[in-house]
Amino acid sequence: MPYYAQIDENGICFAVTQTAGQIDQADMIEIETFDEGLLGMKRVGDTWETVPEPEPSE
Amino acid sequence: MEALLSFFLRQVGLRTDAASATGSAHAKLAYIAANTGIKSIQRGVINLGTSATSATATITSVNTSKAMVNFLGASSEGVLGEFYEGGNVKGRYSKNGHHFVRVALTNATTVTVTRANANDTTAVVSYEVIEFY
Repeated sequence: MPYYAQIDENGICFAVTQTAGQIDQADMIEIETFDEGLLGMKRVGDTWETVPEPEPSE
Repeated sequence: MEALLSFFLRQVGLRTDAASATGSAHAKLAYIAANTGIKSIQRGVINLGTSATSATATITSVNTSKAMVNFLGASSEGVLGEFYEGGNVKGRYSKNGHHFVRVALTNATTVTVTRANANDTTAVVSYEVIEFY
């Protein structure tokens, strides 16, 4: 069963899913494993980059 | 006697009978085996950002009348909030982001997680969608 990292409009991964079949959707990036570490990372080209955490608001 | 044996043979059938909801006992058992049980399981995690109270994830299409979603838990780092009085910090408290998280199968291809307050904290919510025949 395939694994996907789903990204928002800024390319940030907000979901990782093991699906029952293929999904052909621009915001679904097929990945090799169920890698929760991708949550919060940014898709740039074909790679994932760490995004600095924002300061919490007062 | 022969008629009685013939009757029982028709009722019980043979192991090679094709699956059928209306056939012999063997055929009905084959039908049950082929049409009950789990069709698919999909699992995922959804990240709620520091200001997000809901988020959705896409899954492969399921029949919502034959599918269920299980909440597998949530985690959150949490941050400290501060009470002020007269401009001074009076106390601190823990702000957490995973209290009372809900998970719903919104439609055939969408799982939605919701929480009442973001509390400036991220939360990771885990779920699974099980579809039956």
